Amino acid sequence: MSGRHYRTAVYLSTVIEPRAERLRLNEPSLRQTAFALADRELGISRQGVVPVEGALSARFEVKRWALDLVQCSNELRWFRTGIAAGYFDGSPDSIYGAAAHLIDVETADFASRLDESVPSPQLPDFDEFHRSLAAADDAMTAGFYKCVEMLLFSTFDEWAAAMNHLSVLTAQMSDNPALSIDAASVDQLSWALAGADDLIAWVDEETAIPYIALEAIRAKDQVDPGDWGFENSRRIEQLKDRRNGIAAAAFYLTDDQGAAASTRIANLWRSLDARTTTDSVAPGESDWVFDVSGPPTTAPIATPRYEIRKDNPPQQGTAGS
Amino acid sequence: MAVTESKHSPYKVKSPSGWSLYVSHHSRVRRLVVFVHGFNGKAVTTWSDFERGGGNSNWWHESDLLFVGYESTRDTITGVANRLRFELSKFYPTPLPEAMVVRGVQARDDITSPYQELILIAHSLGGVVVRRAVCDAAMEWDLAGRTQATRSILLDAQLRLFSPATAGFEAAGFLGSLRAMSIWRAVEIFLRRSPAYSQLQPNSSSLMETRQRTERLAAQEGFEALRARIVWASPDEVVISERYSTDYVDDSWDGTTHSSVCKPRAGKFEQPWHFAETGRTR
Repeated sequence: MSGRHYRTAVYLSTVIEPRAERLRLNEPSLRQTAFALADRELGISRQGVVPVEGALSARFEVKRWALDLVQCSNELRWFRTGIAAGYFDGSPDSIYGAAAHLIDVETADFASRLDESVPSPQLPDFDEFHRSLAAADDAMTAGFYKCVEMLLFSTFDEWAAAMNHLSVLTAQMSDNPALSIDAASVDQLSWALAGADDLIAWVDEETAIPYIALEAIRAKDQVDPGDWGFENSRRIEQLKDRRNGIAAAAFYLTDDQGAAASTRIANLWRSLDARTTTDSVAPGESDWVFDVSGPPTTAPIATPRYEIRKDNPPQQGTAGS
Repeated sequence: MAVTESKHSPYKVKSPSGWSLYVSHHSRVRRLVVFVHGFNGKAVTTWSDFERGGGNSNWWHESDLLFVGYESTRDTITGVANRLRFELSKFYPTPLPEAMVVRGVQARDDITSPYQELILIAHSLGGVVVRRAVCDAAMEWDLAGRTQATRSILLDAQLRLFSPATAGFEAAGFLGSLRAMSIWRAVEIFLRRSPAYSQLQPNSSSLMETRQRTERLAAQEGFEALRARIVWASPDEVVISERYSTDYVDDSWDGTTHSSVCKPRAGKFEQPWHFAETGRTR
């Protein structure tokens, strides 16, 4: 009994076939727009920048379809690498082996071009491939998909609104360490919190087989740093920056209302104090940044430590004292 | 390249979402081992070292492995426990048919013989999920008159728990512990005050009810599944290390943390494999 035959059958049946089926279900105009959108964002168009009409590309179905296309490309690359690692059945002569029969020509062409645009992963051995595939499968949560969709396919306005939303959350958490918000609002932000964890890990760490869309962004940056690749990379950096702000504020979260109130008063005093010591701060802007160099603490915090930015003189624990 | 033939192959089930069955290619499989992860865990990767146990012992070759996935930031303990209670009958005692033959390829020679053993292994929050599921199965059987026809398969299970959160999280350390494990999950759980957050406070009504109901039935004939074998991390600064009065006497492993207690390492820390196989901690 061959485990390799079985694994191949399972991968085709539970991963490739359902994806191919989803990619078949769409009206032709949406499909072509989604192809153009994915081509443009991943920098693999053979005709240069493909014009994509804004209103159409903003449609939910187009983004979802484009995301399926990226996912399919990623899954086909896993399959190709798995064949080379001896994990799946297949011949090196046929790039996607038996999977090629399950997907349409246009999708296979897209996947192949995307695959060729990024460096080939270092061929993992059998065990490493087995482990990496399991980890990748675990990472494919709804939050992960949403995160990829936002990074690649959200419009400028959508992205700006999302970043603003995260900034507001940071301010709210800093203002009220006992903050509680409704589940629906947390769901809306989840892609940037736990949902982004695995994606950021892919950005920051070496993994056996990196996520193909991120590899494409990286490759684009090296070829044409002023074009779309730069915009995608900028988004990743913005997301990391907003997450750093939230992570700093999260150190002070507490469900002890007394400790939360003390922190709020301390913050208020600090804010007032800062405004009397500098006039370089624009109204409504904070000139404070959190010092996250210390270890997280779970004890109630009455006087959180801050680091003064730029030309403000350093102060420690003066608020309320 | 030399290719090692894996002892198990992954089969991602369609429903319930997030569950994966690792199918053994051994000619004769005797048991189903079910894994339930904790707060910061993931369905398979939390337990990936266990899956490699196949290299160490024939016991693992003769086992199919079922990894139960759920979203610890939003799923409720009750919801996951109910899913486990109702869905497990698809997988046990008869091996999941859809995974035994795929596109005409058989997983192994014998694909129809029922399993002879059911082992439930859980960590942290997963321990609460498992105890709740088995407790509800026991209550249901008790209320139905304890007939053979109404007996849940969960009552055939053997429980092995790694640092279960069944007595709640350390009062001062719950949020801090969560932050130490994953700041992003901690933020989400805290902001939404997810049900698990309140349910895992020490002495919460949910934890107390499960404990009282379990202890009331565990000593009676036919309810042996309610008695768990437990091993704690030492030091464990995340959960309160307190077993039920009806459980087997527990043990602790020095030098392990809440996260590492369920991570076996070949040649260095093999106790978790041994515990899973036998229920013994030494």
